[in-house]
Amino acid sequence: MTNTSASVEGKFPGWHAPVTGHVRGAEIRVTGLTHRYRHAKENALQDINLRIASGEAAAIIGRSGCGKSTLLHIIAGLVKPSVGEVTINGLVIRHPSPRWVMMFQQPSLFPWASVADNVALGLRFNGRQSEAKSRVAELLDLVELGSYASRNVQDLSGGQQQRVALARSLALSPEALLLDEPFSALDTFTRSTMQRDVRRIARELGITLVLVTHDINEAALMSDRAFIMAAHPGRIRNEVTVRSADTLTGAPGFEQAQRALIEAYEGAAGRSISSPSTDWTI
Amino acid sequence: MKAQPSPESHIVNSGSEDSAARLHSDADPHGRLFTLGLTLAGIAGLLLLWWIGGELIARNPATASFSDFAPLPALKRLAAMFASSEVIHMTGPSLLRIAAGLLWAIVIGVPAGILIGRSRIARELTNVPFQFLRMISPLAWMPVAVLAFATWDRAIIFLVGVAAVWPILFSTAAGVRRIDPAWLKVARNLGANPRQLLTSVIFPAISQDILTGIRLALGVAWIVLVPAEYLGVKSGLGYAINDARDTLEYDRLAATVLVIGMIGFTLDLALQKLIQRLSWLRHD
Ligand SMILES: Nc1ncnc2c1ncn2[C@@H]1O[C@H](COP(=O)(O)OP(=O)(O)OP(=O)(O)O)[C@@H](O)[C@H]1O
Ligand SMILES: [Mg+2]
Repeated sequence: MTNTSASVEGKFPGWHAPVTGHVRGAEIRVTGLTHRYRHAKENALQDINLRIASGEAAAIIGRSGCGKSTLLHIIAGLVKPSVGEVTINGLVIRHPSPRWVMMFQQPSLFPWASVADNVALGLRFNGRQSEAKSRVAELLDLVELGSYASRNVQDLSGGQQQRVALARSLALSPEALLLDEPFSALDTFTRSTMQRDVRRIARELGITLVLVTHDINEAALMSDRAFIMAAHPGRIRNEVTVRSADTLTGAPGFEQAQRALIEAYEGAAGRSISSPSTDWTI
Repeated sequence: MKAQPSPESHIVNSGSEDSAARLHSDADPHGRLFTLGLTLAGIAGLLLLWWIGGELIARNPATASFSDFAPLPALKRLAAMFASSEVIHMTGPSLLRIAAGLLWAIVIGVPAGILIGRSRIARELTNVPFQFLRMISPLAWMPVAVLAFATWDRAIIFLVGVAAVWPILFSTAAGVRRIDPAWLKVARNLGANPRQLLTSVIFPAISQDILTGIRLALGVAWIVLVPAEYLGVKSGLGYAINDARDTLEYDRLAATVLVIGMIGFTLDLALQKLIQRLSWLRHD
């Protein structure tokens, strides 16, 4: 598991000391993807093509209903596309796999189980229960919930629950994390901590991130590159390089990325360009 | 009952509200004493009504021969029945029949309920037939049961099973329909196979619904049991009632009625406690 791949080191100079569970992040290709839901009158997605490099953090932004969640579900193998295909590391995706894990707006933890049992879920499903003890402790430390292992998840705050969901997603050392607005139910402070932590953890472990968001700031903070989608039918309108590495709100790089994203977003939405402000959310 | 499992509605909020409510009732011994007082008063009221009924029967020359039905003779007889272990002899066979009937109802009702909860086709196909069958008193099947089964015992177990299967089936199906689809999505994504979805998501999620169904089923099964035991058999509570009537021992009849009530009450309370213990929901 300590695969110190050259590409990750190249991308993040100064990157050393592999963290346990380091992987070679998934390379995701979407080719000629069109999707129509059953009984729907128009395509939810129309001819999507994109490539996300191993270890990259990609954001998908666009207004509500443009098909972001649909695209992510198809990449995860949870929805079968009508036309076209998704490959991860060259393999065509037909089923969900714990190697690319989705995280949702709601943590959806199992309320009948403890924090530790929730985190160990993937291990149990894959016949690796014996690793649970050490692995769960390690993961809970990673999300800073080390002392919560035996608590019932219903006793945790929303932010803590989302951290447990993150640990649960990381348990099987996935090559990609597919995030569907995972922080939008959290308060501002918890959200920004989580944004930074997920970005840090993904970078340390070499995991490819695909982040669906409504929040321009979140895209600017967390992604290297953003795809801007337009609706009716859902398609990719634009692509903006963000290169968020170590940007902070207020830093010049951040504002530049933010402005570029807003311009692209408004272009896709067919609106005139307005002056950006720091808390510009959709 | 169980609310739609949305994390905002119960996982996050209700924990604190609930513990606040618990703290409140723990810190209020007067409230508990008050509850105990009312409970005892209720029991006393029931005994009083029984006693008045007994007096009226005894004073009326037309019914005076039933006067042993009154509390005092009945309770005396009950004590004697406990002492001679007659109570055990008479309830043992009944409990076995209830257990067998319930077991059948669970074995059939839980899988059928899961199927109906999961599959729209199964739900729509069975809706009218099941609602129709459910409305037929199990006792109406008595003649059929007698014909269909080789022994009286089996016929009674069948009647108990017919009474018990519906609450279990419908409660299980309702529980399955309330499962948060996100739980299944998460489990599938983490590599769960269909069997693991069943054992790790569906069963834990609906365990309380199954138990609630069993509790309701026990209630109707217990009610159906006594008249079903008027049939053929020479053991059990229903037989004891019939026998006491035939031998004109009204104190024994009243004592048997007491035993039926006490056992039913105890079984229900035990299941209620079990449901509370196994419950993972933090509000209700
Ligand atoms: N299960 C479904 N069946 C039919 N149509 C669906 C289904 N799910 C989504 N759609 C439709 O597909 C389109 C894209 O939906 P999707 O959920 O992917 O949008 P989204 O970009 O994630 O929106 P939001 O930002 O509000 O989450 C919408 O028009 C929606 O109505
Ligand atoms: Mg969405």
